[in-house]
Amino acid sequence: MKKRLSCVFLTLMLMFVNMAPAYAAEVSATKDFGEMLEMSDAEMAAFSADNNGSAVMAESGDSLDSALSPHDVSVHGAVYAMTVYPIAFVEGHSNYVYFSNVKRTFQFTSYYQNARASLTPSSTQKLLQDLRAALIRNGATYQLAGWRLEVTFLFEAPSPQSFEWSATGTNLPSSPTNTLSLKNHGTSLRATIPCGFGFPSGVDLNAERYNIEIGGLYTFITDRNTLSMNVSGMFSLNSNIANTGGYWAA
Amino acid sequence: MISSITHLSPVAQNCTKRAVGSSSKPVSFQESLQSSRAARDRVETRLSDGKLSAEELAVLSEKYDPDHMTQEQYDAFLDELESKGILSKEDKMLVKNPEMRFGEAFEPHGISPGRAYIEDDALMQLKSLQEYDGNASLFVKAMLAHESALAERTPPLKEDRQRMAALRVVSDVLKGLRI
Repeated sequence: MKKRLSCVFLTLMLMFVNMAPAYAAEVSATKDFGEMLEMSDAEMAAFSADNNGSAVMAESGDSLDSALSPHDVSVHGAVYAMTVYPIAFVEGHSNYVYFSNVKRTFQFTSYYQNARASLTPSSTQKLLQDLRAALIRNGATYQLAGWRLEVTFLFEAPSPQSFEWSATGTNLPSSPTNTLSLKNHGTSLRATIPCGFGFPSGVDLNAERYNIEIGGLYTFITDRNTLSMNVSGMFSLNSNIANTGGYWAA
Repeated sequence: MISSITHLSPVAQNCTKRAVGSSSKPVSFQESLQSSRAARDRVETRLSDGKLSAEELAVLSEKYDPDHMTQEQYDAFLDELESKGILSKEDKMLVKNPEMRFGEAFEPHGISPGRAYIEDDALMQLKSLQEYDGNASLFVKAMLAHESALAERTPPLKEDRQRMAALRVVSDVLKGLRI
């Protein structure tokens, strides 16, 4: 009886250990480059099952067993950094204007699959004020228009395939889905996606929190399977949510 | 939030005479003459509107040394190119502000997806004129190289192409100052 109880206890322990990576969205960094969660095919499959398809088996008919790899394969999809720039429409230009030195960059040291960074109301207003000052210095007739968000993603797999992404924001329509090919860039790469976002309607831009986001489905091939996982970077303006897992780059 | 602002007055022109340089590589008089003529022709051809004559180039070369300029001199030089009609007001703004960038237009309360890119190589960081020891020719060439690298990464917008064209004009004029 005692032996049977020990077996049940051990089984429960093992189940818990196996499930842990599914929730371990980040690992604390110990190096400059940071560290990421290593996920094997089996873990990816478990992750898929535990997250309602946020990472899914792309090939129909594959059982979880068939996704098992004889050796661990390094697979990552995460946000490396996010940069936000205030933007304006300037008389004489159909395209929006921003300044490459009027920005805030949040550099992650723990890499999250679904990452978030926030600017406080005062930092948000300061950034808009910095853009105003830069435009005034250049004698421009302008109207503040919104934000440009650049999200740099890290992709790693035996064979990264594509990133199908779109952009969305508070009270803004979603952009159409775009596909970035990740083929022929090796097993580890960084990709940056920029996007312009107009100010949302129905929001007090001086005080109320609003979000802008770029994200999508990262598809890659492991030894035998094509798999996908959701990766996204969200930036909150006028937000007092504390930032974790990184730092504001100079 | 629309704000109407007048242009700032140009900075005071604090010009110095160009230092006379000496070539370390000996060339024959004939070679030198042919080289000078070819370069001058090239500058005059590039400045297709003919707005900067050989005499004007000579006057500019008395005032500005392309190898040694302070930021104030460089700004005054660009102001002078604008006043002579070589650069438009817009051209000058783009050349003077390499950090001023553009993104594709969008409707109010809309989203404009930009061009995604793979970061194969880190872009060279832009340096200031001071970091090039006042060598305006090098500084402008570096800006052109930076713009070219950006254009390879993502297709350039209208303003990016205008900036590159304006930088080439400035580079040619600086070359012309050496003749």
